Amino acid sequence: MIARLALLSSIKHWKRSLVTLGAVAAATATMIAIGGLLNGITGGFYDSVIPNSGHVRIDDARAATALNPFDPALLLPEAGAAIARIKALRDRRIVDVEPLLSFGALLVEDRDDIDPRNLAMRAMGVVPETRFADNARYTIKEGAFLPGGQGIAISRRAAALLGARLGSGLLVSLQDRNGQPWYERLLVTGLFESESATFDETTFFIALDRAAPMLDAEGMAKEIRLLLADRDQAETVAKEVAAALDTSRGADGSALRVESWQTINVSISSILLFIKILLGIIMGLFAIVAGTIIANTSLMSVMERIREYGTMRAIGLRAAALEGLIRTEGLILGAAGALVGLGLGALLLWLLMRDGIDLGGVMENLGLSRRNRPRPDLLWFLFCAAAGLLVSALATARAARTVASMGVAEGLATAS
Amino acid sequence: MSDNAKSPILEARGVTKDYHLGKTVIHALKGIDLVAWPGDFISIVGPSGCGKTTLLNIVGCIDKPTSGTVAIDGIDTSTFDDDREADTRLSRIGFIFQSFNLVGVLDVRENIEFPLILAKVPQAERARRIDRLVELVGLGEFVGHRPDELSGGQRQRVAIARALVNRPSLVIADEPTANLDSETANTVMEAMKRLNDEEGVTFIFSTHNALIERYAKRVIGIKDGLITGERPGASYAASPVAASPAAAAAATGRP
Repeated sequence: MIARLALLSSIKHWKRSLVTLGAVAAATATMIAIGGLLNGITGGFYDSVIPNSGHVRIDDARAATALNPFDPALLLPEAGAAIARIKALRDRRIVDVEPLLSFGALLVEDRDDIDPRNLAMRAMGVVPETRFADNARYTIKEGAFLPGGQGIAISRRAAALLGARLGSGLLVSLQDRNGQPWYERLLVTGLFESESATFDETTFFIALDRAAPMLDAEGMAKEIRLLLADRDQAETVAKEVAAALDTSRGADGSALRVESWQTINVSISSILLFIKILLGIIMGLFAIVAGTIIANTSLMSVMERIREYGTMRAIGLRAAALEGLIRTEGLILGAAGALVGLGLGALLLWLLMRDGIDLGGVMENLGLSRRNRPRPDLLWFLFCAAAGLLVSALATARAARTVASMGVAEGLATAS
Repeated sequence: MSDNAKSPILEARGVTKDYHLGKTVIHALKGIDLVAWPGDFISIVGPSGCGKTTLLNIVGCIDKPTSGTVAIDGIDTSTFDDDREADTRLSRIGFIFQSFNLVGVLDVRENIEFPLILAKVPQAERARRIDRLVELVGLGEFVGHRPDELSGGQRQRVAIARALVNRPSLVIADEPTANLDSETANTVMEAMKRLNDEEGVTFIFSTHNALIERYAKRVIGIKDGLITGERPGASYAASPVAASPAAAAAATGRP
């Protein structure tokens, strides 16, 4: 009867009910959308940036302070041996170990011209079957990613700037480990298109076995990347790998540095934390605003019915039961609002996911995708619905307590 | 007859009620003694603001007296907490209000059923009591109607059925006919009178309509928070109104 009475009252006072329902729905939908955005940013970080850079990275400790990131002195001469030692650990947590040879190169248009077009780029020498470089491997639009270890993979954007297309030859000009200039003509075998214009204009891929002879750096690597089954194990694995390798400093000051993704991306993690806090505050404010609206609407609504409640009390309804009745009404409206909010939130997310949101170059500078695509999360949906319901229940509680604590005679004497 | 026939259903002694409005104290009741016996049909009469509603609220456990005692069925209610007051109202007292005060979203049957549900009466018994009462007040064909689909007289008859459904010792009606035309008012009073005569239900009602007070067995006058006297209702006897509170007190000391 109490639930039915609450439901019927909600329907009868539909205008006020609609305000409460709308406030809960808006708060729920907003929380879902903001949470989805946040999930998109952090998900992009975990799924793109970390696998691109590896869960654990091994390089020369001097790279941290080197003015030239492509200084040949930073190459790891015993990369092969280090990889063999890591593999010998037979650690099931380590899914993959790969060498990477990055270097600076000039891509030059291959034609007899006094002024051919060229682009200064960062070459990434990787094994063709690499499990990193997702933003190029999974965004190949034409050709393939280093098929048979042949040619180079460049972005469509870079190809357009160089006047090249799939199958075109480009001159790859570089300075080898000994400081000698070198160039080779390589075919464009794959065109990719990542979501980052900066990445597209500055990076191309070449097979490691092809790049090493050009640099006169066979068996060497700029860094070694480890892919782990569980990213949360990175700190532990990094320590264990460091212990297995000789990380002592050599005469030339070189030393192996083993870092987890948390250490590598400490600044991004801090910024992500800041974004999380900021969005958390926004969500909290939404909840407060919705709660205030619901509290005031509930109070107005129950005050309009004060004589009805007074009558019920006079008939024998206990104060606690009256409070329960009003709270039930709040819960019914909260549940309905949360359901509507779920629908609205899902629709909003779907619209945002369709094209993504351009968050600008700042995100690219952080190594994150410029275009953020919110990611729905069922648990988050349920949390938002529960939060909407809770906000409604808490906001109604004040009105319920106010009315329940009122004297019966006072309620009956109130004009309605 | 049971012991109830010998002991009063309601016994109010020395009831006062003060209201504080800022620094001003309003003495709404100044020491009322009122006794109601089983089968009584008492009319409280007096001008507006004399304290009729305050008195009915106090004897109905809706409000607390500033001083004095109120006993229902011999149980002193002045020390009751809020829940015990609610339980007393539910089980021992029925209320009829001037503005009917039905729950707008419930139909006739549900309005009558509401106190039964609060009293946790089993469903079969609820149905039996409701069916009997709707027939008794002549609303058999309106059980599915909402209050806004009924006339004033019909609404008040629903209120009467609701007041009686938990078989209270006492029914308190605060100006039950004030919002009704004279013909409907008489119909409602006839219904109350019939319940009093046939079912032995005890009624205390307030009115300032002389035509209505004639239904009463006892008419008690109030003025400025004091009982001014008591006389039998016009239909029962033609005795003068007691001239003083002392005479009124003597009058309430029956049977």
